[in-house]
Amino acid sequence: MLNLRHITRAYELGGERAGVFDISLHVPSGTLAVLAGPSGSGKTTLLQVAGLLDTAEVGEVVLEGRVVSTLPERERCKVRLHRLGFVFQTFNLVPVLSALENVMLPLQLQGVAERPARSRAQGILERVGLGDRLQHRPGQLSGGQQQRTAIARALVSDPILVLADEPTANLDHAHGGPLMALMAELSRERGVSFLAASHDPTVISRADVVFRLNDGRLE
Amino acid sequence: MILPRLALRNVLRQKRRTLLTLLVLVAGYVALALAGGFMAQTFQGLADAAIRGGIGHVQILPVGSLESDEGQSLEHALPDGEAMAASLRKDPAVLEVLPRIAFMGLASNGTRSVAFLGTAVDAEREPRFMAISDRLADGAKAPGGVGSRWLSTDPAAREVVLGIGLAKSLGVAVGGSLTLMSTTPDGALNAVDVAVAGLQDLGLKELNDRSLCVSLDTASALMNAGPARSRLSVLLRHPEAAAQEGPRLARLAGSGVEAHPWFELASFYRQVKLLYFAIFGFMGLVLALVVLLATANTLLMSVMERLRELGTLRAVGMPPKSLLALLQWEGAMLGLAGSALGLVITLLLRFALNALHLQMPAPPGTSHGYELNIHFVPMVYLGAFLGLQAVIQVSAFFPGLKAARIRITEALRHV
Ligand SMILES: Nc1ncnc2c1ncn2[C@@H]1O[C@H](COP(=O)(O)OP(=O)(O)OP(=O)(O)O)[C@@H](O)[C@H]1O
Ligand SMILES: [Mg+2]
Repeated sequence: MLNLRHITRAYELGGERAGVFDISLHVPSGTLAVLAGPSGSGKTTLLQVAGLLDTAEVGEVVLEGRVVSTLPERERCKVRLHRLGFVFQTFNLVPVLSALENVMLPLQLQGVAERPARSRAQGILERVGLGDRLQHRPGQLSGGQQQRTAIARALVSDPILVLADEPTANLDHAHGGPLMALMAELSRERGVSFLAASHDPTVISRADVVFRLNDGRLE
Repeated sequence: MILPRLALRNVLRQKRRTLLTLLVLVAGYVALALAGGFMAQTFQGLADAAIRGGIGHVQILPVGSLESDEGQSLEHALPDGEAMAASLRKDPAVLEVLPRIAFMGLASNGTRSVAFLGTAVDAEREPRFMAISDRLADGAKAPGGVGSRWLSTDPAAREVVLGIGLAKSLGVAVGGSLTLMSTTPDGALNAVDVAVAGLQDLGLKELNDRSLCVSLDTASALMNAGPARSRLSVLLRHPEAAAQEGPRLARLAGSGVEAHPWFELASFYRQVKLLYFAIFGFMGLVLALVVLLATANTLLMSVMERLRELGTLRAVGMPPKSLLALLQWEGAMLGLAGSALGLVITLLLRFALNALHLQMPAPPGTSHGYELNIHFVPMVYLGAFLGLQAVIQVSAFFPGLKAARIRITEALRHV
């Protein structure tokens, strides 16, 4: 499903080389994969390359058997919109839109009409337990609720892969666990793969597969 | 319709900054609309003065009379101007045709002679359409002007209306008599005794000192003119068609004539128009620059503040051109709000200014001031809106480009 082949993305800063080097990995469909590793090991860098937000100097990203890393930005936009979902450490919801509108956003960008977009968004928000928070703005939601909204936004367009960069890092322990449980459930339920970067043991313990990064290399 | 919704919410996000930008936009709109209204009033006033001052909507002249000095001589006239006028009056587009004779001569009170510039008009038709007798009231206030009235319409009457300066230098008052002397087409000298029917103040010293007005019958008798006329002033049912109707009327009138729409002959009108366009055009340019900078600054700030949000939108799959469009929408919303608010304020200001009945100083070359009356010209209001909107859309382009060109990874790292 997702194949990374010999990915190298290097940052040269003051003579020091950082980033990720010669990474190859495979995430099968319907799995919850975790990218583990200490701070600065290159988790974010690798996720951004895998999510087509950044371009590797060497190697290719293969999604469903198709090389997508060499596509022009216009096509990469479409791949992100239709095949990928994103969850960020800092939630990154649009502050001026309600929870429902935030979740409707990817559908509307796809050109789905208002009405079906609304009902699909509402359905998935109910699934993540926010059926009673549809009209709340992000600022009126707790961190856990915001991150569940972000997961709903990532999943609403039925992607095949959701990239989550430290999804629990801004949540306390009481919220991190349940969020991971939810991601594991959704991944099984919908056949979606998750690739989550984290150094949180509760996250790692939920994983079907764990990739360990150290100094930009897979262990 | 996600972009307009996002744009509206974003504009409403920073209320204070939006309000400040709106203030600039409103000021811009009000300035444009009021200046436009004032210009429209001035142009209309000058156009009216030119048309009703004698030119009419279209002038029919003998070919070449604008280039030569012969305009003041009947040798170079329309040989049967009266018949021409009669046939033009039958045209459905024509409201009225006013034949005129322009002539020169000497006016004498028996002891003293003064050169004059005369206009002979149809005593009956002319005052119905032209401003020719409007200034009799002002003349009545001048020494000797009491009892001023317009020329008698009796063909046998031999009367004159004098400029106040001319009356003064001849030492005559209303009811007095004069002898007018001029030449016939074959060069003979002729004279006619006339009674002074009225004095008028034409608002310009040069005119007051030289001009007089008589009926066509009186002029014919003086110059042995018969039906010859210097020119025809044509009034149209639809004045805005003057440019198109001119050539057609010239053909209709016969050979040896040319037709000119009023604006070709109203040189003062054209000069003032050019001047105003230069002055207000420069003002508009400065205004456009201020609006451009104010909006561009506001929008750029709002882009810089939400880099992470814009990066997220791009990550989720929004293409760069949609971000460009988003900023265009945000500019459009600002502009719409600014123009709407500006329109309300302009209408209120117009109402207030007009209610003050401000006296404006006399324009150059005239001796009468006028009351400020800013016209309601829908086209000006629409023009101010469109002009402002165009400037804003341009100013939204640079912030839009900035938003469209962000690097997603950098934008996401932004706090
Ligand atoms: N834009 C950049 N310019 C220069 N160096 C960078 C840049 N982005 C990342 N790096 C470097 O690349 C390395 C990997 O960074 P990355 O953000 O991928 O680590 P991470 O595993 O996500 O760390 P954390 O757990 O703290 O988020 C780090 O040494 C970092 O300093
Ligand atoms: Mg990271």
